Amino acid sequence: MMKLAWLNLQRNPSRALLTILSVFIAAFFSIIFGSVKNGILNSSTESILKLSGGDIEIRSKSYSTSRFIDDIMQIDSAMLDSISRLQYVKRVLPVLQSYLLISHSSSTSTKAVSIIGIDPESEKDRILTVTEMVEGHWFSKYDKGVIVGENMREELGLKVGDTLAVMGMGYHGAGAVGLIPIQGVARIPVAAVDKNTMFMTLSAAQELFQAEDCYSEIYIISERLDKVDLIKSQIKKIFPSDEYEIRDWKSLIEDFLFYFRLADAFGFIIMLFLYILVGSNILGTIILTSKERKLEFSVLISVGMSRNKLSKSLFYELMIVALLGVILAVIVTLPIVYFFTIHPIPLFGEDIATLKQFSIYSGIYMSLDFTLFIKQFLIVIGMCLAFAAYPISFIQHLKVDEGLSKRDANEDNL
Amino acid sequence: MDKLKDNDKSIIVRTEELSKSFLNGQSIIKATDRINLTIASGEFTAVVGPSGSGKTTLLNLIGGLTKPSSGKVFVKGTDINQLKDKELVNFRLHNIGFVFQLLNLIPVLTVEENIGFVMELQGADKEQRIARTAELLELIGMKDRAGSRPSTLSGGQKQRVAVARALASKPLFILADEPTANLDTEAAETLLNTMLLLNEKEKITFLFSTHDPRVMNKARRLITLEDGRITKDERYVR
Repeated sequence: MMKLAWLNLQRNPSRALLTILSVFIAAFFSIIFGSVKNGILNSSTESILKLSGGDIEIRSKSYSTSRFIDDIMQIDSAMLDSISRLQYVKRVLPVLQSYLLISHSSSTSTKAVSIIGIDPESEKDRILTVTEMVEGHWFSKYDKGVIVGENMREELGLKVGDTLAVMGMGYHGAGAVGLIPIQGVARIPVAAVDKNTMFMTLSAAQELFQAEDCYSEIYIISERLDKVDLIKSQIKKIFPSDEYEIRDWKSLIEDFLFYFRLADAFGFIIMLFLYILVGSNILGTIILTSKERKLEFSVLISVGMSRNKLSKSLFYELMIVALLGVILAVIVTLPIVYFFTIHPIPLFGEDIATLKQFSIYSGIYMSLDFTLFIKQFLIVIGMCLAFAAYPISFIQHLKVDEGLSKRDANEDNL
Repeated sequence: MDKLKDNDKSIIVRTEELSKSFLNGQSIIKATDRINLTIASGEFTAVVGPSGSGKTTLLNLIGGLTKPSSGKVFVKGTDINQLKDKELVNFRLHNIGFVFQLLNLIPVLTVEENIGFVMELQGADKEQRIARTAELLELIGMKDRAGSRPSTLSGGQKQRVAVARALASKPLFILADEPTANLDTEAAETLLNTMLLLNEKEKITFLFSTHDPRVMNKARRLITLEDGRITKDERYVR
C-alpha cells in the first residue's frame, strides 16, 4: 500500500507538488508567525526583567511590608552558597537597600534618596546593560563611593569627586552617618530611579548601615526562565515560607504579563485565522484531487480492492505529502528563524532609539525554540490527519457504478 | 430463453426479476426491467442493444457494483446483494473479473504488476504471482511488454492486459463493458481473438456488452436489450 501511495504521488507530480505546497505554506507561516510571537514576548519579558531585580526575589516578610531596615534579612555566606549551588541558578545577587538623607554644599536642601548596595562584580554586566555610565567609573570591589543618577546630579548640582554628607538609620538602632564621595554618574532608564537612587558597593553599604551579613533582598538569575518554578520550590526548602517572601518574575511583572497574555491571545486568534486559511487551502486541494480520481477509485474497488485498503493507500499518500510539506517548511524556516533570532528586524523612531540606548526590546525578534517547531509540525500534521477524514469518507461512500459510468450525477438510485 | 434449472451445476449467474430504476428529476428511468437470465460456465455472451438500453446497468448489477431496485442476482448460488459491502468486495475479488471501457489499469504499475495486483489483493505469495503473471502474459501474447507502463501501450494492448488482470484471480466469469469501444478495427479484432482463445482453450466465461457488430458476430450468445428488457436471447454455433 505504501509503495502504491508513493508511486501514485510520482504519477502526477504537479498534483503532489500542489498539495505539498499547500502544507508547506501552512507550516511555513505558522512557524514564522509563532516564532515572531514568541520572540516578541520573550524579548519584552527579558527587557522588563532587565529593569527588575531578577527572576526570583527573596526578602523577609516583615521587610516586604515595612521596608524598615530592622526587618532586613541576616544571612550567612553558607546559606547564600547553598542557593548558588541549586540547579539552573546562574547568579545570586544579594542587595542591601535603604534610605538616607543626603546633603551637598552646592545645595541648601537635603534630599531623601534610596541607596542600593550591590556586588559590583556580579551586578556590573546586568546593570550596565540598562544603565550607561556618563561620567566617572564603575565600582571596584572595595570602593566606598557612590554612583548617582544623571537627574540627581542636575538637581543637586553634583560633580564626580564631590562629597555627600549622608545621614540615616542603621541596622538595629545604629546610625548611618558619613561622608561619601561621588565616583560616577549614570544614566538610568527609569526617570524616578535616575532622580532618587544612588548605588554603592554592598560591602560599603553594609558598613554604612552597620549591617554585616544583612541583605534587604536576594535576587536570583536563572539559567532558564522555564526552570524558575523548580528553583523556587528548592529555595522554599531553604527559606521557610512563614518568614520569607519568595516571588518569581511572573508575580513581579504581573501587570506586564496581563498585557502579554492579551497579546498572546490576539496572537492565538491570528494563528487560528492562519490555520483556517491554510487549512482550507489544503482541504480544497484534497477535495479536488479526491473528486478527480473518482473513476480510478471505482475501478480499484470493482476489481476487488477493499475500501479500507484503498483508504489506507490514500491516507499514506496524504501523510507522505504532509510530512514532505512540513519537513520542507522546517528546513526552510530554520535558517530564517535562526537569522532573525540573532538579527532582529529593526524598528525605527525616536522612542525606539531611547529603548535601543538601553538595550531594551527595540525590534521584531524571532524565537528559535525547537518546541515551537515541534508544536507547529504536530499542528499541521494533525490538521492533515483530520483532513484525511474527507478522502476516507469519500471512498467509503463512493458509489462505484456512478464512478464508473458517465451517467448523469443528478440521477438518484432507486 | 434458457431453460436451465436452478440446480444445474454449470449455471454460474442467475438473475430473478432484476430491475433497476433511477430517478431523474420527476421522472423514473427503468434501466433494467424484470430481467430473468442465466449464464452457464464457458459461455461467450454479448449483451447488445442501443445506447441507453441498460447494457452497462445489467453488467453492473451482475457484478454487484449496483444494488438492484428489486429482484435478485445469484452468482454460483450466492445472492450477492445479501452480502455486506466488505463481503461483496471480497466476493468480487475471488469470483468476478472486470474489464472496463476506460482506465482499466493502474498507471503507476507495470504490466506485470497490474496483472499481479489482484493476486496480491487475494493474498497470493510472490512466487505464485510471478508464475501466474508469466502464464497470462504468454496467453495474451505480451510477454515482451511485462515491464512496460500502461502509458506506453496502445489501447488494444491495454485492454488485453486488462483481460489478463481480470483472469489473474481465476474468476468464475469475466464481465467486460464495451471492451472494444475505444479500439480501432485491428486492435478490436486482436482483443476479441484473445478473448475467444481464452474462452475456447481455458473455458473462461465472458459476459460483455457491446454495440459493435464485429464483436456481435463473434459471440456465441446474443442477449438483446431494449428499454431495459430482454427482447431476444439467441445462441449461435460459430
